[in-house]
Amino acid sequence: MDDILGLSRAKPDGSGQRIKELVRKRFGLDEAATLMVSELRCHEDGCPDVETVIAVMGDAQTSLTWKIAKPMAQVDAGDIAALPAAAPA
Amino acid sequence: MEQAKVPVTLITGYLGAGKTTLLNRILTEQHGKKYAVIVNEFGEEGIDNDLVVDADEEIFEMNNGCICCTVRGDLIRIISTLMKRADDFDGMIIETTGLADPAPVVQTFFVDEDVQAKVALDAVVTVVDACHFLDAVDEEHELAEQVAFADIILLNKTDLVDADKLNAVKAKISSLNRMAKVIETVKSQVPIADVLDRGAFDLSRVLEFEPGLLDEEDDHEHDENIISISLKTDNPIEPEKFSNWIRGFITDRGVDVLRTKGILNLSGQDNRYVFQGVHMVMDSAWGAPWGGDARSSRLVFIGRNLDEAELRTAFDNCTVAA
Repeated sequence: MDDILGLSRAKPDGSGQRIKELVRKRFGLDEAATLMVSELRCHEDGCPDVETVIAVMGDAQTSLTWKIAKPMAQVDAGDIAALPAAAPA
Repeated sequence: MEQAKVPVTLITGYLGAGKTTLLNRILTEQHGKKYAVIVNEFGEEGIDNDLVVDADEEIFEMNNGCICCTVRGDLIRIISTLMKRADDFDGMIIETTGLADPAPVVQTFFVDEDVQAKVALDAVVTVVDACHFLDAVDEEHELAEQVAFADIILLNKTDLVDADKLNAVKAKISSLNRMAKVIETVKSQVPIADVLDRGAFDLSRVLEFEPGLLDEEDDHEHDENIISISLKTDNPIEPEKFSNWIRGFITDRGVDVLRTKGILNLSGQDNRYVFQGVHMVMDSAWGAPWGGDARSSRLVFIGRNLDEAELRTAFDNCTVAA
């Protein structure tokens, strides 16, 4: 049955894995590097309605984070190619 | 076939409450299972396990300062590493520090597809020291939050308090969290089956796990910063009205709403609709058919600065009769 109230989380569709592979290739990261990809729907003032957050999880000093103002499913190779090598915090 | 997810049990509790005693009790029980244990600090009491990983409680803000977008970076790294040797254990147990904020830990399990695909948060177990709880809870906000986030509360050291104090502690716990199952213990002695494999975040098991959700409403005195509010109506819920209200409410107040659970009798539907949330992260599923059962809708909110009368009115306005 459909979720008629719209409260269900989006089911994983492989976008996270796809984005991680693009990021590994773009920055030459091996499997030892931990990546996190998440779709945020933050409602704080000034935030876009939906954005994809990509993080290379180093320790507190070396973690890198990028944000792309579109849903995970729409993030493509061009978006990842355009990420700056030194990510903004 | 979908691969079974590794269950993760989160043990929280204030300093000296009995967390490590509970952990060791789980680890030494003859259950034939192996656990990976993640701890934030090694206390005086050793941990009796082969696989113990030290975490460093690193808060990772995906969106500057927003608590709803905050996770534990150390746990994401550790879980990713552990899952490469997932055949070595049957489950994970995380013991937080006494001062840990449970929200980032819980949210860690809902943000990343890989984490969600491989592991599942089974339950938040909070150990409460019956002796010192009342003295500390109003001063130490972490203690109140640990109780507020709990699915299971071990009310420990009950042998050290009299009946009046025990009742006062239980009343305070109930005001903070009506959803949790409270188990009274001495030296954290509890049947392991009461704390492991609980499926507290499994929507298909909401009904079997929600003592507070199935209780009738009562009249608590709510003067605390964090409160637990239970609402019920026998009138069918109009789906569009409810959807508009709850989504707007969580959008506006998700920072203050720690946990939400609900079982709804939606107009025109044969099945229960169940949902739950942690801050702004919500999920839902269709539950069992009502059949011949009496139909009613119940909601529980646990959060800060919630207005019970306002919530009750808004909920009632979502019924077909309104």
